[in-house]
Amino acid sequence: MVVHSLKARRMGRAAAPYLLLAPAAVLVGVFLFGVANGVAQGFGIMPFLGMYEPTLGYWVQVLTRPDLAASVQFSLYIAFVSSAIALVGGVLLSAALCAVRQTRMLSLVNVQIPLMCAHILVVLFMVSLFAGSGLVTRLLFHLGLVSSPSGFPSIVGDPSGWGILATYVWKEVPFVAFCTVTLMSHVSDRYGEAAATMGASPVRVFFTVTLPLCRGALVKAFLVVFAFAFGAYEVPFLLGPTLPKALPVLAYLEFQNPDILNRCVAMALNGIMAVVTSAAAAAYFAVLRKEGRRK
Amino acid sequence: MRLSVENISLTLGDKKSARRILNDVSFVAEDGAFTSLLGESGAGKSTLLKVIAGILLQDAGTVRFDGASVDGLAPHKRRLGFVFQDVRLFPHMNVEDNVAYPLKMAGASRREREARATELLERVQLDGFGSRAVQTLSGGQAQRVALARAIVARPSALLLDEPFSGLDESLREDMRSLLLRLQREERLTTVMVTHDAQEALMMSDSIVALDGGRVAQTGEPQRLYQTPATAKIAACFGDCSQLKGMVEGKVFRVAKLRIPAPDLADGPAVAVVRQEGCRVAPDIAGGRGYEPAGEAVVRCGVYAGNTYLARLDAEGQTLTVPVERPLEPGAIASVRIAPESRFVFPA
Repeated sequence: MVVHSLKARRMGRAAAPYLLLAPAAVLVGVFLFGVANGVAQGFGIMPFLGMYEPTLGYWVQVLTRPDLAASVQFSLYIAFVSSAIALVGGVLLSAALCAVRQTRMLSLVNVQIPLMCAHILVVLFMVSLFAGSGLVTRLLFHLGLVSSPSGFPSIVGDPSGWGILATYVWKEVPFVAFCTVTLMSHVSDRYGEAAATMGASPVRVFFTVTLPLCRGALVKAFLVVFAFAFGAYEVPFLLGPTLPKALPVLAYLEFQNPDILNRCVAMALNGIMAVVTSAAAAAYFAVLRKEGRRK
Repeated sequence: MRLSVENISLTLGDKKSARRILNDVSFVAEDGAFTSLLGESGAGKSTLLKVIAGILLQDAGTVRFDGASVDGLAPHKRRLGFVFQDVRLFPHMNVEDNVAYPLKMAGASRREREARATELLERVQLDGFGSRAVQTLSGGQAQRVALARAIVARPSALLLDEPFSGLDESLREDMRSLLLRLQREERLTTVMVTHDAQEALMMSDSIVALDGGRVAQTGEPQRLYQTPATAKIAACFGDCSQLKGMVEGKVFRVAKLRIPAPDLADGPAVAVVRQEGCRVAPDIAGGRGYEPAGEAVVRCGVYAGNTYLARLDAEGQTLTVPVERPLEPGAIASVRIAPESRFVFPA
């Protein structure tokens, strides 16, 4: 009797991790099915249309498109510049919050509210501020800093993509700060205090101790922002130039094409995005592993 | 350097949870002397050390180095060495870079930094450890590195915040010897926070006993040991019993125990009796230096290695007395206490 109950308890303990993982496994399963389905469609496999034969035709079509290089370049530019600015801004915001011991109100205004706002709302807010009839442009016109409200570089469709960058920076600076502020505060309290007693000024504490010890978290935040900015379509769709189109916008337009066969082209374009974001994910896990080894 | 702390007061926390941590604290650490800040947890010792280092800003009072106020100086300009309880070696630097960090901040050349770091590592018996990652060090080794780092830039004073509390007793003894040797070689004014009274006795030229954010007593170790100012100070040196009772006619009374209290007026009082100076009659019937202190009922006895301990009952309180052989529970024991081991304070 005792042996049986002990065996049951052992089995229960062995099964517990798998049972706890089950909900996550279902979600991962759905995600992987979607990815596999997308990849298959990129190779022309769409069983619901009776297409079972794999083909490289759609990939060849995508890779030989004249607008592909410019689109990839534009997407990489948007992703890299916005994540670089978000990184610098996030570090500064994080350092400022640590310096003032992040009171609840400051944290709410600087981090939590921007994090809660959807990207689409930020786009509306940017347009209302910086479009031809926007608040800022009219103010600049009244101050005589621009010759007419339309003299200000347009937030929508400008080839520099500054509207997209501004939106991402407004959203992602708080995200980077959110990812780093707890660690930075801990490092600053613990090691910064020690460094200060050893003759390091606050600036030298920041550059010799705080920043190097937060490097892992910063690199991870950068990679997340980069992958997101590279793959997200709604902001470049609303604010981006007609040409070149960002890669996700190109894929979205192909996906929306009335000809359903264009879905294979869209999925091949998604495949290119998946390669870039997978590289970012690989770098993320490499950083995680390095941090794990250091601990 | 002569370090003086004058009338330091400090309240921490926001308006709702403000708490007075330091209350009019003053003491002097003489040039080249080893001073211990002794007190139980929450006494304000570490906070006071951080005020001296400039990490915390006091509400009132002054910290002086050689007579000059340093209140306006940021921590990095005070030229102090600090050893933290939790070591705080920089995890992204190897041992040598950690030790050389204060020199780097002082603008020393790479060659000078390397030479001095190597010298210090040798002096803390860690030669050859320079290239090691700090994560690979044991607790004792890490604390040695922290000590080397604290004195590498020849600070004007060394501050230590419970530096040995995380170490095994055997390692502690080694570290105490090492610290004292380095302190004497460098003639460093040293202030060490500790809650270990024996440690303070053995290492210090003077002790500042803190209680509830106030200085309870200062002086040489012998003074605090022999003439403690409060029951807490009397009780912190070694094993002892504390008994609450009444003073009547210059005698402290609890149950059938009697302890002379010639300086106290009648009223509630606390007696502290050190185990080392307390015996029962059969063991030292006519022993010199022990005076009769009444009787008490034996509650139980316990084995304590080199001796037995008898727990005597005094109105529900316990008087612990070393005995040569276990006593029967319920037996009546005649207690004798050496005058230098008994202290009575007003409650």
